[in-house]
Amino acid sequence: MKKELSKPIKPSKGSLFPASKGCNAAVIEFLRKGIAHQLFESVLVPVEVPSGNSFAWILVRDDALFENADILPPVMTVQGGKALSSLTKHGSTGMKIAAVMRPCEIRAAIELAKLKQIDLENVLLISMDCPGALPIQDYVSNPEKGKEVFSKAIKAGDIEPMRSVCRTCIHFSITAPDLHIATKGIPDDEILIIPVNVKGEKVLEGIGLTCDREIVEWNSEIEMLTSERKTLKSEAIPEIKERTSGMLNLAEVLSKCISCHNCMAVCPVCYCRRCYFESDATELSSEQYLDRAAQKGSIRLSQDVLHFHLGRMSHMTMSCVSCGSCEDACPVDIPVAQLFSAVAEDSQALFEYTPGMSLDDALPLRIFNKDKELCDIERICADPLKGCDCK
Amino acid sequence: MEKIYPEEFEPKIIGFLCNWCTYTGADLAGTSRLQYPPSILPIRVMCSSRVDPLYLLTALLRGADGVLVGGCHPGDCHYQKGNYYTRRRFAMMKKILDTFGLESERIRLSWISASEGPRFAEVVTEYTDKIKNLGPNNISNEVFL
Amino acid sequence: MKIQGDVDNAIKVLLRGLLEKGTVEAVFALGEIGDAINYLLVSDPAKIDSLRPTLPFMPANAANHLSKITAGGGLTQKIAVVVKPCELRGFAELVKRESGSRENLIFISPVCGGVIDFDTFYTGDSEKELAEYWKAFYAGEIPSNIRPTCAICEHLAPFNADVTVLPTSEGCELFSNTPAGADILAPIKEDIAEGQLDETRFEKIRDARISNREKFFEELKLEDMGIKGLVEAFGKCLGCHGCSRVCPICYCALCAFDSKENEFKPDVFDKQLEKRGGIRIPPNTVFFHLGRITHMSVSCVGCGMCADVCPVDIPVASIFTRAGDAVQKLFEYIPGKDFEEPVPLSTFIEDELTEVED
Repeated sequence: MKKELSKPIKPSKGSLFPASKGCNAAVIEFLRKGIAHQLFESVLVPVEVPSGNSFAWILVRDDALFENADILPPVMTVQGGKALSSLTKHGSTGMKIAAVMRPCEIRAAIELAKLKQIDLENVLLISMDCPGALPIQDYVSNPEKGKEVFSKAIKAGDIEPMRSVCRTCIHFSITAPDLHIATKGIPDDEILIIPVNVKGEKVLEGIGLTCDREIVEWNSEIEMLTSERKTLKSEAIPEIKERTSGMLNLAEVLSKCISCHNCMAVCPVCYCRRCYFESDATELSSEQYLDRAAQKGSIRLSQDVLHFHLGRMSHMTMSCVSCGSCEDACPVDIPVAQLFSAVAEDSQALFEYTPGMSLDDALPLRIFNKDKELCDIERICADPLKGCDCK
Repeated sequence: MEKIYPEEFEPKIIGFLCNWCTYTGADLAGTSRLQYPPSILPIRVMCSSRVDPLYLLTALLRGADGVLVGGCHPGDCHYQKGNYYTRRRFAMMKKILDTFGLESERIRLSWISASEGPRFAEVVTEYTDKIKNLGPNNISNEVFL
Repeated sequence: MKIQGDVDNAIKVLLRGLLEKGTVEAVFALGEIGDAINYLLVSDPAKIDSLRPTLPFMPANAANHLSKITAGGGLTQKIAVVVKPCELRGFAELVKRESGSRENLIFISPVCGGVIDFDTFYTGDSEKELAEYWKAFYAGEIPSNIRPTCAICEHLAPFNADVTVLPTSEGCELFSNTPAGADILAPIKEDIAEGQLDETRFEKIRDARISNREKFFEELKLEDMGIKGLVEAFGKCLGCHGCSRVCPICYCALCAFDSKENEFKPDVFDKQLEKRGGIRIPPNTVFFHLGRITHMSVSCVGCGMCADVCPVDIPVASIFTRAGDAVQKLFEYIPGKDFEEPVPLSTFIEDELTEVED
């Protein structure tokens, strides 16, 4: 991976791109230009499926497929990071690809690249300002209504109809793509294409676009929206924490869990082919089942539901990008994304780590600081009576 | 995507041919200089029962116009019982394709022994004709597969 | 035997007795966990109260749980198990695949009126739904609030149960089918019904189900689907494989469709892209479903868990049950009817199916 190309620059300018027919049409036009100028050969975008009730990632080479492409569909189907992983897990195709994804999908892709599940070598990452996504079950049961609700919500800047974790998302704009499509705080008939690194700059150059528009208005709009979201988040997190506080409450919230493991299956960060919680390591013997039943008088099947959720949390929380795919996939409506997102907030803060913001940020559990760190969780003071002086 | 087919459509038929019977029979057809259309792509398997029904499915979904499974006559399997299982699996695959209207004629099971060179040529000729009449497998156009 | 009062209470009396006398080490049945219903393995008679053994609800196909509990040679102590007919059939299919053991299990299974789905039960008024359900069932009708696959299931009476339960408007009737069944019913001081459950008792519902089934399959028109129909039917599929995970028949530790076999190498992506002009990522959506049908349709018991768990409400169960029906008729096989009858693909007849030879 050419490191210099992906080194982020602090974006101060962007390229104006006309969008008289709307943002989607403009971005597709941009992508067509990219192909025409041979900056990439194919594009990974969501395209509406033939049955018209959902969207699927299509690696597009045939221009005709752009007709039903929607770079910002009302729902998030397969998490974009997972899609990129499927495409590049066994190596880059050698062909240059542009991938247009939501910010949380970009972040998931960055984390997966660190986990060696994605090869970003020939991938150009493009993101856009994200208004959120609708709950998928509602959408697929009435896509016409869903499209209406979504476009109305975008126009009004209304996040109420969006999924729970979308409403409290503070990383809905620029994260770590190569190019970012700015739409907030910008007139309706324009979009700004902002290069986030040298790779992005080169693409704009290659298409012949000059990076000469100030992004001050967009910046302040994003800042304002982010601060609004931070407030919402600071209200939502204590709520879910209270709801799940203590083993009994947590067990209650998870009581409907049927151990289908959909949440794990759709999570971009959960990439293990054979999940620990589905392996021999966590299997119980007949004797163990009967022993546990004898000890407790009554046990629930499947066993170890809390173990699965808390365990999965401990495995992926550092890289959790709060994309919400888990909650969309739960057949019994457990607020699993809200729970995992709240925990991720704390566990990531412990290491001052924000997943998906830079390939250079090492995964916190892979590095350590030889000098004192995290002393408040270990007792290393020579004189326990004197107390610790290493703060 | 619009595909323009040449006037003469040359079918592509994947042939899973058992080593002891059909493959040897095909070899014999060759050494006997028997003519048959160049439509078949032979894949040698040690026994027709090695053919996982999923191979047939994969071949069809990836655009093969036809799939031929060739094995020993029932009772003559080199491994005694293999071809009996083949027959059941094949019957099931055919039934599944029929259930979904997926042109089950695009898969065929033929028993061809090692000495039946002419029979091999005959089967391939016959089958190629049949596939020509069916036309190209339009599954290869599908993007949302 | 006839027991007055609520059918669940009747079963609970039976189960409590079995635990108190030590006839069984534990009992397995549906029960309450807070607001949720899940399966419980109970060994303390005092905890029997939380059970709801004949609740028309299925959080999972119990065959999967029974498979786990009996792994590694089977149970060394007796347990009584209350499961629905399709769960018992699913378990028989797993036992035949050496993924479970019948040893020391005593099966109690009700004649099943169908199952209410997650959404209806958890987000609706469950008491109201249940009242409507039982009213219809006792009138010999198909309740309107059960899942589609239940409304077309003709095997509403269990195979291989030691005790069959027939819920009635007065309570229930228990029929013992085996010596083990007779043993557990003996301590209850009522008359034990002679002979097996007379099938005419639930004939009306069964006939309705069978005629429903024919109509349902006709309307489904799978044979008109072709590849375009399949692409449409599975258009919204996310590839989460939840359907496979909850399926009682899909027992493979590493599913072929989760393995490397099902992933494209870079050159295959290149080639497919060139050929089609576009390729779905992840690929192999239709292949997964047709492939799963190839692997399990011969044993599909039509339990409907696959559709219950699908995040995008694809009618997986309807499609798979129909495919299962076709494949099973080909081999004249009723999955789960018999713990001994070999799974059709593991056996053969020397002189058969000549019509598929060419």
